[in-house]
Amino acid sequence: MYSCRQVSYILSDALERRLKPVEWLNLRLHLTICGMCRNYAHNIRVLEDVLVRLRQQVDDGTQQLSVRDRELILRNLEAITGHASGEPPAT
Amino acid sequence: MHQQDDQELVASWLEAHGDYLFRFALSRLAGDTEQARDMVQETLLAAWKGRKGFAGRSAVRTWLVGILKHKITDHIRLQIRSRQLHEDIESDPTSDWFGADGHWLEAPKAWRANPESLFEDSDFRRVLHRCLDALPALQRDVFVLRELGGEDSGTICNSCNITATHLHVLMHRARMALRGCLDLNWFGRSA
Repeated sequence: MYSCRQVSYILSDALERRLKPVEWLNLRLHLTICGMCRNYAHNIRVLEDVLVRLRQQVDDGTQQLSVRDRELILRNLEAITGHASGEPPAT
Repeated sequence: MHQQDDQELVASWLEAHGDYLFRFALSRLAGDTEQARDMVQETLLAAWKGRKGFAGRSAVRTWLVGILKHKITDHIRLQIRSRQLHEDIESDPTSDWFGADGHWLEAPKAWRANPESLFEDSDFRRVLHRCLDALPALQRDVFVLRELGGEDSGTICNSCNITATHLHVLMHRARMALRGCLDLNWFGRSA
């Protein structure tokens, strides 16, 4: 029988790897009788759900490079690409 | 005159893909804007250097994101190398939560919140990022790469030079620490 501490570890592992049947069984067994671990499992699921949304945010996110950052990048790149082309930097 | 074209090429990449690359980097660097900006710059530079090798087999954005991913992994690998690796012994938050018998010292309460509204709440996202920042460095790097970067465990183990078991332990500790941090700084408010 798993302790709560072991269950918290297995719950995390369930997100990382395929659990063995015996691990699943012991986990389910513990969760049926332990409300505290059910709460923990619930919270970890909520956390995971939010993180997955964050991961997908790239495609519809709103953060942008600031105008200042853009200019900085462009200046730095121009300095390097100008030199590396083997021609004198444009004046 | 080639130079002019080259510079316009880089500028056009920045224009068309800069924001996307920036967001991509941000999401994998736990919101470090300065570092994300530098990563975008390094990516564009590397792309420019390797422009002859880009045969247009894939979309420009896909190609740039591929370079950026490598840059981020390299950056994190370097960070990890420059740190002492004994931190994992010092920081096992899981022992704070359980008694010697493996029982909870303080019973977790179920969060009453919908993930979708949490995600849309910018205050919550700020707290979450603060909690991520507060993790011990290796835990944070590994967790962010895996959860926000969606990186597979093999890649992370290779770049961080850790075993799969070690990775699982770090993920577990990070989850437990984050849950505790959010409980204290967010969900505790309504309790």
